[in-house]
Amino acid sequence: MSTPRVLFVDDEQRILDGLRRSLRGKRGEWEMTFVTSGAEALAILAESSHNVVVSDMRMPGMDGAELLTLVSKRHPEVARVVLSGHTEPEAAIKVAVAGHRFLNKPSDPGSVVAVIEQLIGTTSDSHAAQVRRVAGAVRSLPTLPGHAERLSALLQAPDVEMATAIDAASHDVGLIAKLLQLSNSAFLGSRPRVLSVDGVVNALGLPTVQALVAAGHVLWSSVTWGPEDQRHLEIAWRHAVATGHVVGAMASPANRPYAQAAAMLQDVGRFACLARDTGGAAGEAEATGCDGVSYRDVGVELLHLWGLPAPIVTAVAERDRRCEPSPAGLGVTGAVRAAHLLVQGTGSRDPSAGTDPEELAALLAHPQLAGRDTDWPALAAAASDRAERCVRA
Amino acid sequence: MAQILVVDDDPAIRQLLTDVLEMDGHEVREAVDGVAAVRALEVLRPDCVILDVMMPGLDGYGVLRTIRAEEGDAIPVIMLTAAAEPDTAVRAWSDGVDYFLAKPFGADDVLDMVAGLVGDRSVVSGG
Repeated sequence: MSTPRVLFVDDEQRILDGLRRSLRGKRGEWEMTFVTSGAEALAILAESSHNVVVSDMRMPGMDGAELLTLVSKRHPEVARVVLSGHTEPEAAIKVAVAGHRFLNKPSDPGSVVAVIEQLIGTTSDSHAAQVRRVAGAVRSLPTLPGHAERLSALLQAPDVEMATAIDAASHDVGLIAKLLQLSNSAFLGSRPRVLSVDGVVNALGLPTVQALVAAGHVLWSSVTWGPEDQRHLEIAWRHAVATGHVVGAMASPANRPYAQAAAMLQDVGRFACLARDTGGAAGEAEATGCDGVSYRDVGVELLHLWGLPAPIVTAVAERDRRCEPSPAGLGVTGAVRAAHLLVQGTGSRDPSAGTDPEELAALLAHPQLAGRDTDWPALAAAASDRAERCVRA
Repeated sequence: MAQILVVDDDPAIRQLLTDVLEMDGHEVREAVDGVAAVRALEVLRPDCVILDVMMPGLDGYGVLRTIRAEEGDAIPVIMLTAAAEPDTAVRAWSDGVDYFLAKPFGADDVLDMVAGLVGDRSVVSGG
């Protein structure tokens, strides 16, 4: 594998010198380039392939958001890291749209190295490289027609209550993805550990969430889906929401936030592919993948790029894999698989995935679920109805 | 990395768990029985509790119920069992245990479980 290339962009030479000094130890492993403007960065990227670009946000001329948006279009295989000193709502929106990860300025060298190493990946494999290209082109997820407007109106109301905002946010796949991406970056401070949607909304504060929704509204209001795409979007959305409800009742306390996040994001790859900028001519969706890679692979790569915790990524990666749960507990993966299979027996089923009554029976017989006084199919049917109302609302 | 409270009346098991967890960079606190655990939880806020089931006085199930009553769902709990006890295990699931770890266990079993529960936060927390 060739030497990974990392490009750093900041208009302040002082910051670049600091980075160069603190990353001296990596000189033998990475090829590092330091430039002071977005224009120079684009010129370098056009000349040679890079793995990661780390950019300041506030720069004269082309700012970081503009640069990273252009990088996502011209070089989707390059992972995008935002280096910023500001954490106001405006910065949240910019990073959420343009970047994959967020580093505070100043960051200790350990954090910078760890984030870059995670993102360098193994792009020597041609399949993995194609997955990275498709996933890397994604800047934001689509939302259901009418959904963004409603959410936006709800959150902009002057007397909106936290509980209302959290309930609305917890049914929006695209917003959840953005909230988790932000909460798992350094955005919330040096030790982020916020996983549940209400935790993230509380930590970010309503103004940031409102600004995110408003940005999403602007982003998606101009996109018109073909009827087939919209149908796929609604089916996947409804399946995610129903699975999220069921898994909330199945997962153990500490695994619950992970499991609910994984349920909501289980089809993130499909959403991302439907959302791709196809130059206005929206092509009809394929059943299980796009551009030669599966939706699942794209989704897993996206969650990795966003830095979500390993249990969430694993549960999404293994949703369609037969699960033999350990007697020690279902864990996140087992709970998501069990909830998914249960929902497959309801009106919220995902037609592109199968059913497995035998496996489902075995999962429901696990001590974690069997001893509970719950009628699981009835719970799944109720969750499916709620999910339908949420999509049709 | 994470602070873990190990609760077992058997000093050999406590020592084993402490060695394994500390080798992986965790900070370990020990409690010698259920009552000591509840007292420790009045001042500590561990990232995870590893709890033996069979202890004199207040057993593991009692400690689990106390944790869920006092601290809610925020603290992950792993319970150690010697033999399969289906009835009581089922009760623990509805009381909010996260995993059961059967004795004897390997170092990797413990570390994998803990890693999944306390999260791989080293990356963004700066190690």
